[in-house]
Amino acid sequence: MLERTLAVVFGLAVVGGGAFYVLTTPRPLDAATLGDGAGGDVARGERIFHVGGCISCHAAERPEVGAQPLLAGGEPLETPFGTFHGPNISPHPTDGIGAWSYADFANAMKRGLDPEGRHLYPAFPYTSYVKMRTQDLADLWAYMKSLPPAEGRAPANELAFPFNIRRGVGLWKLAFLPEEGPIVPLAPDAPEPVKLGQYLVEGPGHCGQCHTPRSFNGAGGLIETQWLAGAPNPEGRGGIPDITPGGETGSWSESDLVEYFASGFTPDFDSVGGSMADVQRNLAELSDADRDAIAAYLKAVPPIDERGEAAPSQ
Amino acid sequence: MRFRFSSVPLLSALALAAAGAAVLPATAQNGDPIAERQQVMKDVGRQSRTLNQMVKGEAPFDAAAAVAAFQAMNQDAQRFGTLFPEGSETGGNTEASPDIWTNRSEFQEHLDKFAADTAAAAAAAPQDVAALSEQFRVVGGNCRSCHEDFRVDN
Repeated sequence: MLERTLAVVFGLAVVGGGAFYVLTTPRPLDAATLGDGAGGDVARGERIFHVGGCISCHAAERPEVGAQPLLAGGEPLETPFGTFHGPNISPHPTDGIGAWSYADFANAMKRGLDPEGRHLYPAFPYTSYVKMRTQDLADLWAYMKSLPPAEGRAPANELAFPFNIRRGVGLWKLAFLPEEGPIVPLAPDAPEPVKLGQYLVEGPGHCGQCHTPRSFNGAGGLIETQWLAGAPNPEGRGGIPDITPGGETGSWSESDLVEYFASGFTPDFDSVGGSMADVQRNLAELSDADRDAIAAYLKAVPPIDERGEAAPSQ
Repeated sequence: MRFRFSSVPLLSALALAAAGAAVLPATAQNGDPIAERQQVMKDVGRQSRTLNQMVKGEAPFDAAAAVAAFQAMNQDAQRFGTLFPEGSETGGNTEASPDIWTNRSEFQEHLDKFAADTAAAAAAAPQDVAALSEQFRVVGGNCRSCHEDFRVDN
């Protein structure tokens, strides 16, 4: 009897392990649709770099005015799951991503995979970057390759069990890696700035990563029915505000939002603070047109009321 | 004439030092440091608005008003040091980070820099919008750098 039980347990373990292996197998982009990254433009890529806020996690400090950023890895990101260290993404051949192909880069950005097919943790916001346009990806790649190589490797992440099992991220992705399409359904005849803002916010700008609550007590995916409705601070204390028209910034005009992006001052001359302070430094690098577009989109998203439900339309 | 002109910044600085010394003891004894510091923050906001309107061309440039705004901010900067006593960590919708009480020296460095930058801006007494804009940029950076580390959004 005991032997039979053991055999069943062993069998289940093998089946379970096999299922885990299959389910967590990397699923890279289709090479046929990927393109080769040729035609990327450095100047256009710099814009996407600022929209994406890459520097915030991948550089220890901002460069002097006019200097190029050194992307040797950034400040630790402390979360309930452990501490993440943004790695070196400079073109250094061994410490950075200098030896990567364009396909490697695209699979990291849109599939959360490294060149060996290992799953990247979603602290790297590929769940937003999955919505990026092919041309923008190529432009960003061109810009990244133009930056100076930086020596040094970030420390390994310090994560608690079970989050330290990297293979398990494959299961998480099966459940939570979104599709490429838009999140908020806009009317086909929505103004062009709203459409541009949608792309910037939902895609490369990855605003929802902090401003949208997550399922499974913060461990799951973004709850799209509460898009941008505010969430607990992933870095611990306090909260991240609701930035829908039903939230804290609902009374701000579009030009108030644009001013905040550009200068960091709120309409009543409070200043940006917390983790948004560094995000605003990135927003300050954008063009007026891009800041206008982000503001226009934030005014167009569905308002969410205090209970986290869609507010009735007015 | 030359002598008088260059003495303006010095006089302003002396006046500020005197004003700051007069204000400091008065504030420490008031009852509710959370409400009081929130009021002082609002005053910094009001001064910022005044300066920003001039920088943006939304209000006419007024050199005396600009100096007065920097001076008021300087007094606010000096008051902050007394408004985060032990026991005022929570309550009253405070957004003060607990780090203020565990990392007091770094918090104080921020306040000292804010006081120094506002005193320097007042002493510089900008005479046109371009000069004011530069002073306001330097002073305004203090809001963000301290709020980045020492304020928590609720």
